[in-house]
Amino acid sequence: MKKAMRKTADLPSSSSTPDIGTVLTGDIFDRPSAGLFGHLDSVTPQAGIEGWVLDCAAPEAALEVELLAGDRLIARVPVDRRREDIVDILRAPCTPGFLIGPEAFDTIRTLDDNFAPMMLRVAGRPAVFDLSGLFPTVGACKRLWVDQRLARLSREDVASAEAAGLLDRLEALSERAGAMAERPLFPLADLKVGRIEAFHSSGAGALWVVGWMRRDLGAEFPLVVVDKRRFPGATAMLHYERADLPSDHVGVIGFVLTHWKPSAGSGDFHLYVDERTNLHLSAAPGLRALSAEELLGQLESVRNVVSGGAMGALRGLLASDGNWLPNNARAVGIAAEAALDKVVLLPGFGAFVEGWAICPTRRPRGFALKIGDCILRSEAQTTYFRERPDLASVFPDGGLYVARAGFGAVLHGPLTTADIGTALLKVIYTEGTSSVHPVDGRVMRRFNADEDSAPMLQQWPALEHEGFFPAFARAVHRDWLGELQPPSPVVIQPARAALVIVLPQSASNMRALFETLSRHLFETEAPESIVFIAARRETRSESLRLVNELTRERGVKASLYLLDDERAALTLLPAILGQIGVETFVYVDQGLLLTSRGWVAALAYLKLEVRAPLLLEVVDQHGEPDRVTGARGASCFAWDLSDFSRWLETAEAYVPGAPLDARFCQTMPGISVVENAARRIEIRRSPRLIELVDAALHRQGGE
Amino acid sequence: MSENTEIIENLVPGEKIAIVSHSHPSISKGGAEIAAYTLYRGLRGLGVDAIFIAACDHANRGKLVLDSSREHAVFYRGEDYDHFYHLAPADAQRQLLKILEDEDVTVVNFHHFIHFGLNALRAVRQRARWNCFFTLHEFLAMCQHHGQMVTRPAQILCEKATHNSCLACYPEKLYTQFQLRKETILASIGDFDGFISPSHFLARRFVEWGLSAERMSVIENGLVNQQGTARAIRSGDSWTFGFFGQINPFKGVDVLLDAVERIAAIPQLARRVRFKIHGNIIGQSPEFVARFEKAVSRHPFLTYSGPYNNASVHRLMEQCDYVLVPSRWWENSPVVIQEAYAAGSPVICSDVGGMAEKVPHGVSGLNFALGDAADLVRIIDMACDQKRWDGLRSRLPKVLTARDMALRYIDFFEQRLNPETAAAFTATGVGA
Repeated sequence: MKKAMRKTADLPSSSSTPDIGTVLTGDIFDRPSAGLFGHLDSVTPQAGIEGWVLDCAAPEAALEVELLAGDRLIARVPVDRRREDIVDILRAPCTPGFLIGPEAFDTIRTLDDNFAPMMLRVAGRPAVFDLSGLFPTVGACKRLWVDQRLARLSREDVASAEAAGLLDRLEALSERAGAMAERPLFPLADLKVGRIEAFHSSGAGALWVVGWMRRDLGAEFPLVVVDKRRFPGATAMLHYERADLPSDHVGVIGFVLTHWKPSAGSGDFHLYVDERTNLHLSAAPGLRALSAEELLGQLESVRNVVSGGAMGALRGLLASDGNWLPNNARAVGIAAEAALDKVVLLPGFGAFVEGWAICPTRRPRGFALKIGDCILRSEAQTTYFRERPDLASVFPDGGLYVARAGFGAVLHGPLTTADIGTALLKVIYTEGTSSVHPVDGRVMRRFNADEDSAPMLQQWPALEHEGFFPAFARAVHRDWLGELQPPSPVVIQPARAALVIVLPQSASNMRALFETLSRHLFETEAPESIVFIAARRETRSESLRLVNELTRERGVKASLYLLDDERAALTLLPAILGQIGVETFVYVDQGLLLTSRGWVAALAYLKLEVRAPLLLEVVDQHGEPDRVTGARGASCFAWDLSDFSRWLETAEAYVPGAPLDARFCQTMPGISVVENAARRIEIRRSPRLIELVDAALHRQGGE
Repeated sequence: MSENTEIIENLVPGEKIAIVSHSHPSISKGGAEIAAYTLYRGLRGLGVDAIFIAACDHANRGKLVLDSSREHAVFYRGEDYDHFYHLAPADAQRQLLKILEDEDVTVVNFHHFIHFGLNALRAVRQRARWNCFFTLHEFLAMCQHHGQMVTRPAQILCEKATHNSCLACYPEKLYTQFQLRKETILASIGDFDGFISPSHFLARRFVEWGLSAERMSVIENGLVNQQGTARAIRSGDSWTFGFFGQINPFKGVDVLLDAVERIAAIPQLARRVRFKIHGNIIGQSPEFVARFEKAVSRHPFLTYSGPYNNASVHRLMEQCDYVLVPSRWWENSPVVIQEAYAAGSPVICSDVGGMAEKVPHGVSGLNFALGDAADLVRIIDMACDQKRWDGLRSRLPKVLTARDMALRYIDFFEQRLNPETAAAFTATGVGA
């Protein structure tokens, strides 16, 4: 245990970093460009990865730090921690500290050893922290974690002193196994003393095996697993009598502490179990991988017939925080029921959960969710309990336990899209024990701002005041950008200048828009081209019909693009117009119609050679500037495509549905305006949550 | 007659009139399509080169019966029609334009925009080769609630179509959508050469709404098959009141049932009256149907005579001393009133809209307060009087025939298209 602690990466402490001059000339980053400077203070599986970073050109800029294993994102955290030592030197207000929590190691340990190198970088910047001296590979990182894990298991999370004692003994035996692994090991037939018939990998640096062996080998001993490579470890075996075995043999169920993790091809491995000879257990032909339920069933079936081994200690391990065997409660003697009613998953952030947990003998203090390879954990400050009288029938006298049976929590962790799949809920009790419960896949869903806005704000009425909200807002934005699909061209008509119209949501308003266009086109000339952008919804077909009819009836050159989310039209505009070859455009957002005045102005603009940006003012029903939904902004304007594309690249983050109007105008003081140029026949109402997220992004960008 | 011939001769050489209806009578027999077809028949009867163009849903092709080569159909797909802005796929427009061009039409008289779409009417107008007229039959242009000018959900009479009042009925819409709806309608028909309304009431409402008063004329609908009345002389002390039409609350049948309940409590009146209800009872709520059936079984003076067809309406009305029109909405120029007059029956109707206009109180019938069953009982009691009945019958107006209707339309077309040579056969102006 002490040795494990020594393996923690020892870095220069933060106290050695105040000399900013030294830091700035240091080689913390692989590339000194980018204007970024920083320092890694410590890397420990217990406390996580801690350090500071700042952009000297903009010390107040909001940054994020990402931990990666090759291309895979393990964690992303905001750079938002106070660091008085840095502030004192810079004499500028900034919060350059960051902390990647220890839960990142929960994910790392599930990765394959040969996974790509570990990296730390600032999100959106090319510079990468040099970690070569710390944990260059996943394997190294995992070893660091396993050592720490053993220490943690024995000291903190184990349910009972008996289990803690077992872990201490196994750790000691495991150290002795190191020497065993140095010896020549050969699976000679006459030294085979047992078989492993089945196994279950808990994925926590531990393995459960089921089989039989010679009775005199004892219940706890060091071992070396040989599966092409050698893995020293130790085991604790339960003995029970099996009628199919000779009297000098016993059935065994064992807990093996080892770095080895069976793979699909594992079927020819051996467990060397003696420090002097090559006595070994071999994988039986037809070796089976047990599910967690099957393993718990096996343990349950031998519970009353065990003749040797530390049954109590192993049950304690099953109840520990490190265990993820589902439905473990019965096997470890805890009467506990729990379920999640709702799980909203947001990659890069974690999950919002609602559920219930009842345990007459223990009091829940926290929750964790294992989803795919990722573990999400609750924090006390974002966990609440509530009464659930509807659960009174779960237990006899259940009415006594329902006052705090319901809970809601934000579970944090480096969730990725790839992780989303089968999930397990862990209820962690105040005593340190835990129970693990399968999560019904039907209650899980990916975060969707439109659908989740109202229920989430009902659950978290002061969401924007929660400490996690800035990180949540950034995750929403990243998720939106990550999910953005490229536009699908249905009809492409190359043109240099185009009127761009995002079609209304309703088919009825769409028809009215085309009727208005027909009238404009009857009264005046046509623009060089019209580009229609429609949603990939049920109105898709109607939009195609209307575009074709307009082309045929009026001879207009028209293109049609479909978007998954038409709210992304502005973001995708450079891609769309770039395909068509457009240099100049007039943009009319969803739900807007050009007035006669706006139409004439648009036609004139599209013929200009010099193209400064032009705002087309939106008016209300009285012909006055629309003070309700916005009169001047990014919903109706004309511009040169290359200038607009440059502006878009530097525009602050925003989320779909959030109006860009104010920011658009702020960035272009003195822009020309055509009054009374458009009006609104459809209002795209932003969910309240989107508005809050957008405001948070705006604040973060502006700080 | 020579005067009429002159009118026809002024118009007919080189002119060809298309009567465009939103449906064909072989498909449905609503008031507007019947009126349009009556006009077409009247024009043909006068020797005018007229064609009839009806919109027909593809789903109803099998039921469509075109009577001659002068009748045409424009097929549309009902599911593609926009019932808010009243816009249709361009296919209907193309078919319509082709018929008008192929038939070398010079005057187009639309009797509705529905099913063709306002875009089709605009396209016809924009060609500038046709003189366009529009006949109003109800309020759909100004009222999205089925053109009834009745609020939803309260079902109160709407006194004026404003965007704000429309928003109150359709809060899910935007003010600007109603603005655009009206603009689309006016951009389509607003500059037509003339408008015809079958009632002053309807005409006034549309002039207030935005159509030109100068180009508006009121011409009553004609009846195609008028028969001489063979009404027997009334005998005995019993009075028969007939209801003809769809049996639903909108048509005021619930008011009638309320009145029946009240009359049942007045034995001396109940002994003197009989109520005969003719029509279909389709698509009504179970509560309404149950109430109707219970009333019929409970009161011997109330009879449900079942559905009827146009051929028998004259005979059935002749069996009634009065025809009841207790509608809860405005009505414009209900054909049932013309039919009652043709059958020699005075009318008892609600005191609003087209009903009150067509049935002046104490002249050709009696009015009662809209929706007021007690007032209806009072009027029924008053109506059971031989002298009053004789007086009302003596003042029943002459009902227009198809030919009369056609002559008035020709006169109006002529006034609008050749005002300097317009004949003296003058249609009634709105302000008249």
